[in-house]
Amino acid sequence: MIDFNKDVMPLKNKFYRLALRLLHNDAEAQDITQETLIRLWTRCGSLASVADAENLGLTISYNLSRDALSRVGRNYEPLESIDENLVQNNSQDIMEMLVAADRRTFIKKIINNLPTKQKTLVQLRDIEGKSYREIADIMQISEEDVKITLYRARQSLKEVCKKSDAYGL
Amino acid sequence: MDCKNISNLVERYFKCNTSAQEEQMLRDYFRNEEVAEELLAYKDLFCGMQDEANISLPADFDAKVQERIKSQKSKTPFKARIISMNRTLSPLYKAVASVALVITVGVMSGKFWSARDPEPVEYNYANYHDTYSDPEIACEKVADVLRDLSITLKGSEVADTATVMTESKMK
Amino acid sequence: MRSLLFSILIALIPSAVVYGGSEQDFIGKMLSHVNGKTDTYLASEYEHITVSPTMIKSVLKMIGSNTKLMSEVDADKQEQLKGLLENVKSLRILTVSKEADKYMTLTQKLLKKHKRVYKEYAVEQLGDDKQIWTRQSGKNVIEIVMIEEAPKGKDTLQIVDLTGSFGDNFFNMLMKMR
Repeated sequence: MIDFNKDVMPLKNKFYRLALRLLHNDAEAQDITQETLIRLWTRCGSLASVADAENLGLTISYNLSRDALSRVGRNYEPLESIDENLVQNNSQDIMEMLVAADRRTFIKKIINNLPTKQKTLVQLRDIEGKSYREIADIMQISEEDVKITLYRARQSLKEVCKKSDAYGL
Repeated sequence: MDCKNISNLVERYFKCNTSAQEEQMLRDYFRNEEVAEELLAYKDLFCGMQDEANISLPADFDAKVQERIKSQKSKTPFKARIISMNRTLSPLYKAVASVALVITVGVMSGKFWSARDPEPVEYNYANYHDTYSDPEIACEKVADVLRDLSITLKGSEVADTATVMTESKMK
Repeated sequence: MRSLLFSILIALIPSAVVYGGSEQDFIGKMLSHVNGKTDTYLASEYEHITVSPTMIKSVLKMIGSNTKLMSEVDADKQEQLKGLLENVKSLRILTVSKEADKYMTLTQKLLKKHKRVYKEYAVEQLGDDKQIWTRQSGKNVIEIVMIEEAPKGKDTLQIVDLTGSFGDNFFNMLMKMR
C-alpha cells in the first residue's frame, strides 16, 4: 500500500515534464500535472508499487496532453522565455548560466519540433530513463514501434547536431 | 574514458542499441569529461538532455494539489447525504439490479470466453469481391502498395530531418 | 433504476462479441457508412479496389511458378515479394477524386470512434499529408491503414488497407524492399 504524499507526490515533476514537452505551455502542463496527481490519489489504494504509480501517472499525463492537443482551435504557444526553475545548479556564475541556457533552448527547441510521438519517446527514454517495455505500456504501442520511432527521432537529432556543428552554431 | 569506446557507444546510441545504463554513461561522459574533437557536435545534445531532466514545478504547486485533495475529500460526505434521501424502494431496486447483474455477467463471461479463440478478430472476407480477375494485375497492385509502404516507412527519416532542421533554423 | 438499466446494457454486449467473423476492415467500415447515406456521398466520387485472400493465394501461386523463368535479379525481387505476400490476407484501396475533405472528416470520425482499435504507427506526420494506423491482435499487427491526402492533386484522398499477420519479420522484410 503506497502513501500519496510520501510516494506519489515526489513523482510530480516527471508528469509535468512530459506534459510540458507535449503542450509547450507551462500553465496547461501544470493543470494536467494536478489532474494526474488527483487521479492517482483516488486510486492510491489499488496501486501495488511506486513504479506502478509512476508509469500510470505518465500514462495519464500522456493521454491528457494528447487530448488537449487534439482539441479543435488549439493554438500552440512555444515556450520562448527561459524558465527560472530550470537549471538548478547553485554554484554557476552568470556566463555559465547563459551558455547553459542557450544550449538548453536549442536542445529544447529541436526536441519540441519532433512529431508528438517521437518527442514523447525522447522524453520518456532519454530524459526520464524508462525502459522500452514501460514506454510501450505508457504509450499503448508495441515495443517494436517504440524502437522504430525512437530510431527515427534519434537519427533526426543526430542530423541536426551534425549540421549545426558544420554551421558553427 | 576510452575515446574509441565512447565513439562506439555513440554510434550504437543513434541506432537504439544501447541500454539505459549505457545512455546514462554517455550523458555523464559528455558532461564531465573532456570531449574528443569528433564527438563535440553531440555535446550539447547529451548535456541538454541532462538539463531537461532537471526541470521542475514551482514551489507553490504542492499547496494547490493539497487544496484540490481537500475539496475532493469534502465532496464525499455530501454524496452520502444524497443517498440517504432515497426512497425506501431503492434497496429493492439495488437487490434486483445486483441479481440481474450477476446473472448477466455469468451469461456474458460464458458466451465471451467460449467465443474467444486464439484469433479473435475474423474479417468478413466472404464479402470481398475481387476487382481484378487476372493475378498478374493484382500482383502489380499489391507490389506497388508494399513498395509505397516501404518507402514511406524508410523515407520519414529524411523528411523529419529536413523539417526539424528548417524549423530550428527559422527560430 | 440506473443500475438496472446498466445491467441490461451489459447483457447486450456479449451478443455483439459472439458475432465475430464479421469484422470489417477500415475501408469496409467507411463503405458501410458511405453506402448508408447515399444522398451525401456519391459513388462517382470514389474508386474502390479489393484484392481478396483468394486472389492473394492465386498471386502467390503465380509467383511460385514464374521464378523459374526469370533472371537472377528479378527472381530475387520476386522472392522478396513472395515473402511479404505470405503475410498479407487482403488489400483494399479507396481513391477519392472529389470532395476529399468530406471523406477525410469521415476517416477522422471513424478513427476516433475506433480509437481503442486503431493506433497511429511510426510515421506520424510525414509532411502532414500521410498517416499510418495499425490494428493489433496479440503481438502482431493485423491491419495496416495508410491515409494519404492529395496524392493526385488537390481534393483527392487515398486510403490503403492491408489485412494479414504483420510481425517483426514482415516489417524487417519490408524495410529491406527495393
